[in-house]
Amino acid sequence: MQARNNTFSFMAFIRHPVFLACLKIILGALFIISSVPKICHPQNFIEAIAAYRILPFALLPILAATVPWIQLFAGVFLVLDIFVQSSALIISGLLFVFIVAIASAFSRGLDIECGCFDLMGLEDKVGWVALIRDTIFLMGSGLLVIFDKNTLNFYGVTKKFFK
Amino acid sequence: MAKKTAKKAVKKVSRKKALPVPAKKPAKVIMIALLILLLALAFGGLVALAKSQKTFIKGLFIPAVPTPTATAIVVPTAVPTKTVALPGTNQRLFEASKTKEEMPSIDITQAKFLFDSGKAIFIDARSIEEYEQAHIKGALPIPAGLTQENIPKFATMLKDKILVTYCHGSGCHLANKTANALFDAGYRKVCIFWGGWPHWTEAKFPITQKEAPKP
Repeated sequence: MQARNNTFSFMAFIRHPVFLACLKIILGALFIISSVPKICHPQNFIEAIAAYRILPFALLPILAATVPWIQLFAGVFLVLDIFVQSSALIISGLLFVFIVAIASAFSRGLDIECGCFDLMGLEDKVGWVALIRDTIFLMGSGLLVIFDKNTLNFYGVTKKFFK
Repeated sequence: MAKKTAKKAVKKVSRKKALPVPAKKPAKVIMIALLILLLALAFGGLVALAKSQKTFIKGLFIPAVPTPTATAIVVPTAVPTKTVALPGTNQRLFEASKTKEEMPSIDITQAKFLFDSGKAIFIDARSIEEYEQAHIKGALPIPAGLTQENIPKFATMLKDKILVTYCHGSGCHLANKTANALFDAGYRKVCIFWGGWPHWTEAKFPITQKEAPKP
């Protein structure tokens, strides 16, 4: 009985609007922060993706020109609480791709920069830390896809104005 | 009266049960996600296009100012086998950068162009051990971690030269760190050779190698 109560409270906790709002702001802010240096210095981002040795060289400039913008848009939409499910879906997709790329590089024993937050000057290498961090982010965005709304919500501000 | 209230309560319950569970619309979510993706792609594409237009226009105008057009045409036809790069794009490499962001990031052709010009000095940002094993011909060792000690040591050699930093190529940021340190030390003509050691050796350009110990 107690166990049932516990699971109930846990479910209530992860569905709670405050918890979801925190998730949105944290995930959105992280994505915005990581996208800005990539947009400002696409050459560094091209080098970072090239180091993974997964994609052909011709594709890299196209990716470097688009992926950071996708990150930025999805991040801004999350922070502003607009179409959260869709934005979180995009972020989940990106995170999944990042996790696969990092796992592939890690399994091949490549000692390279992650290309996630190191472009801002932080130390961020491919390894367990990057993998676990991205998995936690993926879980967070998954929760948003499942439990949040997909409207122009703005944290309920619009409801107050248009009542 | 009691019966009525009981009936109302039953009705309420039944209504609650009958209420449709808010339908999840995965198709709508995916559609909006695709729209956001398209928006971001369009934006990224436009920005990239605007940037390329800007550099294209710059490239068109820069060569006309410093060099007469006649020599610009003669050079590539006269020496077709040598690495010949466009004078317009390479002109930038000889100019000083005002900020760290402006420091040009160069590829193998431009690096070879600078190497052949004799106006550049290559700077090895890798470790001293790797430098001692092999390095680009004429390069100086300034590892990213030893910039404070080594930059003043080579000050006379670096003066008035174009400094080209390199390291392990793609994914290696040591060349950027050394270039930043050089910029901070007051050198303004600094280029970052992003292809680095792997590209240089693949192209089989001149290197200095440590002789293997004789048996």
